[in-house]
Amino acid sequence: MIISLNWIKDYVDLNGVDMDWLLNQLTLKTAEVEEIHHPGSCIQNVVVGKILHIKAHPHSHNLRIIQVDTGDGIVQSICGAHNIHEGMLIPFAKLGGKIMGVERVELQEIHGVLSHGIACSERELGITDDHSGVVELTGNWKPGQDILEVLPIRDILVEIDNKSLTHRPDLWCHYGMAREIAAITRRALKPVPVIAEEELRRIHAPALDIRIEDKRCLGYSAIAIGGIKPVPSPLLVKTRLFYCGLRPINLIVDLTNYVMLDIGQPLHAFHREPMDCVRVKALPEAIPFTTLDGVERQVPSDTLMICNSEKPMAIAGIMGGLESEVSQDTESILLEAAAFDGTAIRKTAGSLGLRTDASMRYEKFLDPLLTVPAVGRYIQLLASAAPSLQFLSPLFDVSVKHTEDVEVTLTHSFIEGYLGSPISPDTVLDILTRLQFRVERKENQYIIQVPSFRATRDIRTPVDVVEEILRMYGYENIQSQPLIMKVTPIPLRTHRQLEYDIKDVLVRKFGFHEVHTYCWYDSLWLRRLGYAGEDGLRIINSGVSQFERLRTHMLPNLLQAVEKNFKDREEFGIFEIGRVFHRCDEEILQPKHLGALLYHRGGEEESRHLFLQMKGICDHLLRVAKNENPEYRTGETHLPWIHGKRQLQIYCKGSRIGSMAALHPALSKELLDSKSHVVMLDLNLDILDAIAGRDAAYLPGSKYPKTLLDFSLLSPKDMPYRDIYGIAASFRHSSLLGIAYWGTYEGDNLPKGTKSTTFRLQVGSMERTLEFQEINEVRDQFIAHIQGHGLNIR
Amino acid sequence: MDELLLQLEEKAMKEIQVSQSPEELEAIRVSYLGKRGELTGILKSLAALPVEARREIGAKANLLKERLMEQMTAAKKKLEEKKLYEEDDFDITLPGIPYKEGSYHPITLVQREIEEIFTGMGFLVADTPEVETDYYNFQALNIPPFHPARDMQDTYWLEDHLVLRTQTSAGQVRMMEKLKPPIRVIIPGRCFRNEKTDASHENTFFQLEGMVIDKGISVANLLYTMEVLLTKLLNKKITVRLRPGYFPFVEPGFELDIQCTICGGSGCPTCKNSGWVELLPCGMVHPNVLKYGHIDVGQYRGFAFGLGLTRLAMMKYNIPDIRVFNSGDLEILTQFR
Repeated sequence: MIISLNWIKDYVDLNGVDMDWLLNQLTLKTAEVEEIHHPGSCIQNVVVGKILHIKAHPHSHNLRIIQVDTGDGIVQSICGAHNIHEGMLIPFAKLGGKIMGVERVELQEIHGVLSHGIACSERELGITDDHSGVVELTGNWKPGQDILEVLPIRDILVEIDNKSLTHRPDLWCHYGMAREIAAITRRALKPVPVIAEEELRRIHAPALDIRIEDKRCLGYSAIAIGGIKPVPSPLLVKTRLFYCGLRPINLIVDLTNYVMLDIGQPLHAFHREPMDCVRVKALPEAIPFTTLDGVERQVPSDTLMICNSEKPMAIAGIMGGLESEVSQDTESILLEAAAFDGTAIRKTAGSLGLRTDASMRYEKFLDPLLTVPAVGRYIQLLASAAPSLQFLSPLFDVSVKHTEDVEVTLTHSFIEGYLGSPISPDTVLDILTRLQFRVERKENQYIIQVPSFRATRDIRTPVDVVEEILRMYGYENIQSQPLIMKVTPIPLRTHRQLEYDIKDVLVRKFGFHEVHTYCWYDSLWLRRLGYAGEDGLRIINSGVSQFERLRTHMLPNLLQAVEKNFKDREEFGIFEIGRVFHRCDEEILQPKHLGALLYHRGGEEESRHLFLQMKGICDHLLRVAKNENPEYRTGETHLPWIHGKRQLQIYCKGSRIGSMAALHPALSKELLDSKSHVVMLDLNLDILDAIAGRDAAYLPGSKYPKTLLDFSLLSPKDMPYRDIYGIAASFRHSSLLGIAYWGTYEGDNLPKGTKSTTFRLQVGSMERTLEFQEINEVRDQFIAHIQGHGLNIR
Repeated sequence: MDELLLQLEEKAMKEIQVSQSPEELEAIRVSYLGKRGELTGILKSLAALPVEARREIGAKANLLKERLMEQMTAAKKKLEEKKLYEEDDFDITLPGIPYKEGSYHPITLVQREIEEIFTGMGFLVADTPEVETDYYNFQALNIPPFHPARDMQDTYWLEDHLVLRTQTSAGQVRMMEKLKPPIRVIIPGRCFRNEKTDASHENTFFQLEGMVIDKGISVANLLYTMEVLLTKLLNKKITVRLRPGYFPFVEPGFELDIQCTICGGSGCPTCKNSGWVELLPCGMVHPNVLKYGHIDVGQYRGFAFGLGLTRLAMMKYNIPDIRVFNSGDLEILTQFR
């Protein structure tokens, strides 16, 4: 919202107040000043000129030659405007002067006639965007007077962040801001000039026929006015509206806007004629309705409307209808100042997609007591601009639901508790009084009457009052103090520790790169993966149907990241820890998963190596995280990106914690290229976290030498390692300390259809050095064991 | 006899010093200490002397023998070193063998650092859901349906009145329900806003919520906690200020600014010439929110704050474009170690 400091000065004397200080205080105590503008700063050497003589231009129909008295002489100028007349006082930019759009006014020859300056339009002075004629100055100004003394061109405009005013309906106008500024500067706040309510009630004319038939209308004030002459709005009004971001239209409308920006109450002026009566009521069924802006809108049923005896004429609190629109020539109007329920207006504005200056104010819950002063203010302004007006009715005013008086009681220690340090009761009283609260002090208690303009929603409870006191006291006056608390143990954060352990291992040990992907799928990418992904939760208002399904697996989005990066790289690993989302009956599950991918460019050998590499990484992760070994089970899942044969389900202590798989070769070829290999690991960290880890257990070491025995087991080529290992590992002997896989060999010098798997046995004793014979005994028994299972030793 | 020993020592030392190879040294050793060596000869001749003189000269001769041995060993070592140096042609200026180096996501780095600071102050680190209910994301935060504050955020709505949480504050009441005062908790995590992305806007970003609830908590405590956090985080003394800010779930509510670290407060383009940079919203937990969390408002007060982790990471690493974070672009992400 834009605030004009000239306008503020109508209500607070700011003489001698440093503006930088004031605006900084406004930011610190009230609302953030976002930007400051200085209109009129570029206007130079423009004076009051008097048109002495007008004659036709010899070479142009549209132009005329005028003689202008500029106080220090008479100059000739060429003018294209039609609204000029002799004796007219105008703003005149002298040679060397500066106006909007003209950096420096120069002597010009226009169709053979010299022009020594410019007769200015409103646009050239920057006070509106109207360029239809020369500004006519009213009043007893002397030629040669600086225009800046005559017109309120110079101003300081302050842009306030609307967000910081969400809770302050009272600040959506100049009078409200003036109230804050008066409190900050400790200066007096002048009253708003209005025509008094009693005077408006006493008017002798037929009363208006108005009925409020819906409780969402909280109050309604109205009056009928006639005899309005079609005069332009005063320059001051136009300038201020324009500076504050509204476009001047005509006197009747401009003054409704002016009052809204002045004291915050939206007004609506209906053309008098169609308004034979007023019924404020809910729309029984949806209808098309054409608003002032000429747009036909589908208005839903139950919308609160302002109707005449036949049909709706305005959407309450949002916008009037085209049919009752006032124009330049309108002579009589019905002026409405109403109070509506904020939520109702907000709902309607939302459903129509139409947010107006009025609805923005209403939805913040305006003070219902503002309606009568708003009418009084409007008439005061109208009467001075168009003195011919007549009242066609007395004031109608009804409050359906008066705001309750809000009283808040709080103790002095409550205030100090929030502040964290002492504050004197006098300071508290002073601050609250400056903010127009009525305060009664009883010992340690304050009984506070909240003024109506703060009572609609904003201030209801003791803490609301505390905020008022603290902000005016000055947050900068609060000294920081350390927390003093009982030292109690914090619950262990095992999940986070697990995440960081995994990240550290992957990054520091295995050189993975951590990435983040979005938590929704890209449907176009899923299509390339051949995956529907429609079991995911759906965002209903994403606006882009491509991105509306939440991810149910980590891997698709990570594969997309591989696709983005594989071209420049031989090999790399990426991972992400994030949530996936499932609906499980009525519950939403959102476990954290690790998704990790290894990429390698190469042939079949690299592909196999990559798979076993990932398996080794998984082994290591489990040992770091839980000091456990994972168990791999073959088993099938049917996700399109998984290589059907090369997939393993990963278990730890009986729980399935995840899976690993190679990327389906067809996809690999299509998404990447024929040389690309990807292996994927997916672990459910919630399940993993819940598994109790194993503490390291002490085993005494042997002081005696150990012997290593290598055996190569010859087996059929298609016998899985797991089975071969199973046979080897089932060997028992009191001197056997351990058995480890040493490698697999498949080569020409082996019998056809066989492979050789080597294991290394560690043999020894805790008590002594084994005799040669004892070692041989182990060797023989192991060979017998293997042969007993149908395998040979090479 | 003394004289003889001195001369012998002088001669032997000179020979050791000028020797050029281990072979030469060996010859010297033999010539003095060998079976027919000069010193050996002297020792043998001692037998002819009286007992007194034999003991005195014997001791001196033995000391000399030790000294010569020592000198010869030292000289030998020196010669061997020299040889090693001359013969070794390994180029140690060759580069080290490269090991695969990974990288952390910048959010992880910043988040971990802040978690360290807060756990050091006895805060619990918690995670709360990303798919939230309307209740926790809005209503329990004092934002009923149709409240104007709902406009302050563009929300991603899912079916059944679920949302992608718009703020980590959604975890406030969840933690109140779970813990008993005194509560000190931080809730870092992903948040979502339904808005168009550009260099400074992202629909997915990270925040870190902090909340303290206990008896006697004041604005002064909030200030202190923020000063400690920022001073530790930015590694220099940071001046902060509070000014009014509106968030329905705090009262009073503040925007916390830090004095611009670029210009020190005198005004520069980074702080738009104001000398201050808006950093985080915070405030005293609204009594209504405490009530939703079943906290006795007669006894307890609290403060809360919301730190933009993504923004902080942008500041810390001078990342000009917020879209980098979710880009998966290894060209950039591999820099963060």
